[in-house]
Amino acid sequence: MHFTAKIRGNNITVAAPSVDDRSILFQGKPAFKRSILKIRLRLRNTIFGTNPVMGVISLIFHILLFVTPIFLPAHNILADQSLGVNLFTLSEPLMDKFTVLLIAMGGFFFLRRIFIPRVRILTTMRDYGILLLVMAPFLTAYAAYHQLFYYRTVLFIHMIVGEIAIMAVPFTRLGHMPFFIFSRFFIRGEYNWKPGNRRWQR
Amino acid sequence: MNSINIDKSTEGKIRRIIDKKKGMIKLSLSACVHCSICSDSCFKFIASKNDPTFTPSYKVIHSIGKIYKKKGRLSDEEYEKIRKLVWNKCVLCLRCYCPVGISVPSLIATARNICREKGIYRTYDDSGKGE
Repeated sequence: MHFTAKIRGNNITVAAPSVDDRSILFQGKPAFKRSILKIRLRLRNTIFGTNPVMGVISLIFHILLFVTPIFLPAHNILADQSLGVNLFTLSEPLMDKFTVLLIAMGGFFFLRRIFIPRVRILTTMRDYGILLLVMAPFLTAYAAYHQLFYYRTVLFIHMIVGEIAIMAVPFTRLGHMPFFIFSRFFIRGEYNWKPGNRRWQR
Repeated sequence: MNSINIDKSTEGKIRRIIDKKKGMIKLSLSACVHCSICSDSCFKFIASKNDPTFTPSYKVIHSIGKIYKKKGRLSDEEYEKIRKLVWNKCVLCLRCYCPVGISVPSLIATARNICREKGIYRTYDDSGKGE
């Protein structure tokens, strides 16, 4: 559709924008490219579009936080011995790599709190404490697996710190672990699993 | 200079507002994980070229957070700071997005309510420019 206007004696034709701008992008593209484009357009307005490094690291961090302890062979052997139930496990060298990755990502969050002004302005000593509490079981687990320091001492510290971390969940900011699922449905304009819009530009 | 200048009836009114919203304020302040993801959703934050004091969670913690912790017994200077924070740095556009689910606008609206009870509100000079 075109509009024609007369400006200073010249006829200027302007193409009117389509109702759905995205349909122009999809024209003449194969189906799989179209679906990829759709996903990209949807992700653009989420944290993966506004802050991709933080988004990806945060997502992997939270997934590994669950995957690493639950599918660890040693934990499953203990569960089998005491309760008689176990889950399938992933290999130990892979878990070791996951642990290193988790510690590195914990370091990223720590540095982010120090160097990014908008995070630093909000950070209190409690935030550092909670980050340390979450990372401590993984640090001690790495030390125990590689038999650094005294094995038994490190293992007992690992167990105690892990228990404290789990116990702290309902009383600290770690409460977002169980309640995040519910709170998603209380966010205004969202009330579902879909990512919300949080960008003003463009 | 830093004295608390608040009479009994005003204090009672502020207490009533805080008690009414106690659950929401307490839960929100304890649930905030200080991730600063909300800052991307604030157009004032973007317009101010990423000034960290425009982060929605900062506005909440330093306005209603302070009022809640001291039960409204703040000095005039502190109330003045809160006034600048809740009126000049937020327009209550309801666009701020918290991944944990905290309702930032309702908290800032509560802080505004309390400020109004204290006799503090947005003022305009003769040119109509808000300060």
